[in-house]
Amino acid sequence: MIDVLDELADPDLEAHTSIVLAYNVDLLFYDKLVRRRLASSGAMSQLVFCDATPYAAGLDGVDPGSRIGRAYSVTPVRMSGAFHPKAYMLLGRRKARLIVGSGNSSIGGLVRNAEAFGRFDFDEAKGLPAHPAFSAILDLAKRLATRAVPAVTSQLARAEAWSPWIRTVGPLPDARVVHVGGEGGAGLMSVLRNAVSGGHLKRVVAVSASFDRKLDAVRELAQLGNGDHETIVIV
Amino acid sequence: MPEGDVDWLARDRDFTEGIDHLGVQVVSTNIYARLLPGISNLTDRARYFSFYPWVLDSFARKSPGKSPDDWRIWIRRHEFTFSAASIAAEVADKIDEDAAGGVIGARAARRIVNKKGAATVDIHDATRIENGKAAKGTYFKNREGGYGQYYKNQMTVLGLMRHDEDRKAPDRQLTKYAGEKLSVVVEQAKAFRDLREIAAIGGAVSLADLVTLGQAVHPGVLDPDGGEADHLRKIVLGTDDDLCRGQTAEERGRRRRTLALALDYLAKDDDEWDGDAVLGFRWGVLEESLGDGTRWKVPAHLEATRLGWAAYAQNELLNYALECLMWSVVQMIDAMPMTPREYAATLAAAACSARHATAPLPGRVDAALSAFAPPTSSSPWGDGSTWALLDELQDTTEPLQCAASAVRVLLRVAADRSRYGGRHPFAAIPDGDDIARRDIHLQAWWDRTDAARLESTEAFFAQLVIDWIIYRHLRVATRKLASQGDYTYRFRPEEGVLVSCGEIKPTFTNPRLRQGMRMLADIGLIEHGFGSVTKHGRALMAVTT
Repeated sequence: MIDVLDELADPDLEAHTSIVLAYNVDLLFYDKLVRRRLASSGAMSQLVFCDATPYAAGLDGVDPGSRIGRAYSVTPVRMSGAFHPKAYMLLGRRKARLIVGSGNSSIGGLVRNAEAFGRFDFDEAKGLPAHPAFSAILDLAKRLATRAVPAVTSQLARAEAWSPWIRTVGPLPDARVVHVGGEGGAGLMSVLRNAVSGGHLKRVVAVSASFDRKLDAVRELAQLGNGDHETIVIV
Repeated sequence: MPEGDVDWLARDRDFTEGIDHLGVQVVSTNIYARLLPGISNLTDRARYFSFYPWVLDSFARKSPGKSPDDWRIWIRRHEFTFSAASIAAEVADKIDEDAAGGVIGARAARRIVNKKGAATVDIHDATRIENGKAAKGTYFKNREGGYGQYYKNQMTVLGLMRHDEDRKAPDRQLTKYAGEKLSVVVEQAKAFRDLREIAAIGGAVSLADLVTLGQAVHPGVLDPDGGEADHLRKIVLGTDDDLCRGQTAEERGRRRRTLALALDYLAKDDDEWDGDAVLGFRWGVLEESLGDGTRWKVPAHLEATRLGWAAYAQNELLNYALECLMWSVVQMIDAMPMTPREYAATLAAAACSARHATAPLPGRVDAALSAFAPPTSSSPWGDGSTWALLDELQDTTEPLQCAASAVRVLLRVAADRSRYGGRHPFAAIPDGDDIARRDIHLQAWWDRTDAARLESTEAFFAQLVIDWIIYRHLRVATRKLASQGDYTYRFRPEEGVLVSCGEIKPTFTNPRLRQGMRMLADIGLIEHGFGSVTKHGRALMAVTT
């Protein structure tokens, strides 16, 4: 069980930067709660990327006391489909944490709903390289920043300079993979298909907050590999 | 919980009911705390102010053991014996109905006293301490009973006791100038010495003995001409410099003026409020009127206090109407998910139309304010009066109708300013400027309407719902979640629309007046049941200047 809000408020990380990617960032909730949790981990430079449509609708929640644009940058992302990742990353000089999952930065996504999340930690003292998921998320943020105001690019450049460990290459700490899909990228299902190819699988477990109505994705999961595995779906 | 269980289910059940979902009531509570200092909502019987000093003093003089647990057992047994005796007397109909109530641990005492076939009450069993904690099923969870829960701090504020730096239990010692004097007076009463004998033994006591004891010690049977009532009067009213050395002159004066104002109202009002003098007082200070509609001629030296209470009452109307608007939003969310702007627009359109009211609202804010200026008719309770507008609002059962009535009350609150003579409505309240630093209060509402005089009424109220209802609630609930971990959301945004999380019941704050008035009765200034003013009450009114 991961309480994302607790995981984001960890002073041991001595973070300098946080990067939040979500479809919906409830600006009021972020400003009054998430921002403070991130700051208690040390993240004085905070970046938020969210889908442009819910962002526009949520602007009513910004009051004169909001720290938006001062304590953190918000970059609305416009794309043909929805901008739909949910990632929460804290970068420090020697430690870091990344939480990837299904919950938006909202009351529902981080407090009330049952959501699925996975956690990646980095601690330089352990002598292992960082999981590539960290650099994948940073690179995604850098790509998104090319369409943002220059200050966002500066925030990311500083973050990368202060966390040089993020580019260290070495043996993978574990077998987990964070795949960044979206415009121009391969779809998640084809990545899975390539990873498995014709091999034998014992079990496929899919955990998601939602599935397509016709369950096409579940059917495809059931047909992965040579299709004789059991498929478990947790919604 | 076993490892691996999904404790988010437990968290879903962890839903705090909460109060003040718009964070507006704090202004009202600040006002009444300043106008009636030293009386809290939970300390409503004056006799406890003399009883507890006596128990504390008795412990020092008579208890064989002096350990923290000895103290806890001592206070619990005394307090429960007092409760059981008082309740036994109430149950036996030996206490006037108007003088009953307000007894600490009454529910447990009543349960024990009313037990079928019970002829005795076991004091030890009802009060026992196990492993340093109140045992399960005993009369009070707090180890120091109602004394520790409600009265200890208030008695410290009133200067009856002070912190004892050297001890943890009891952590208070009596002041020589007030606490010890009260204890001496109580010790003179045989009934209290009998009570101590029962409590010290802590055994079974017969119901018949408790009834007899209760008739003498019940908080509602203080002899108004006796020494105990006289001392309490001086302390509560702050009229004796020596006894009140622990209270600031400023606070004594404020409390005395509010109580004197209440006495003045009670002395002049009739029975128009069906015995609810507190309700009458709230409206009386606002409209400067008695229950029968005649003018309440407030003595000049109490006029500033009346204006302070008028600001309180008017601020309460603002809060209540805003909470009614929130209630409307919550009901609509239950019926259909929409965006905040859609709710705001729907409510504002309905509120401004004639569909849910006798007439539509004028299209511009300044015209709407003129339309809701207070009527010039002589009756403060007639058609078009603030009273009538609120009555209408309280009668509504449907969200759009409720919103329509609420905005009409809001317009009246915005237009009704003349009583303050152009000054800030909180000018008559000590530290009123401090209170006015909050976001939402009477003056802020006036400023908001003034700034929007040329705007469309419908757009103005739609924006009000957005700012002061929907996002205000989300801000307040998020703050509570961030600071206390309490989940008090009544609605929350989800994928752009609002989803419902709970109910809201619009309420007024409790301005301690009911407690204040009950205390006036306890110390013999008015008859119990908010009745007529006694000779002691009239004497106070004569000296309060």
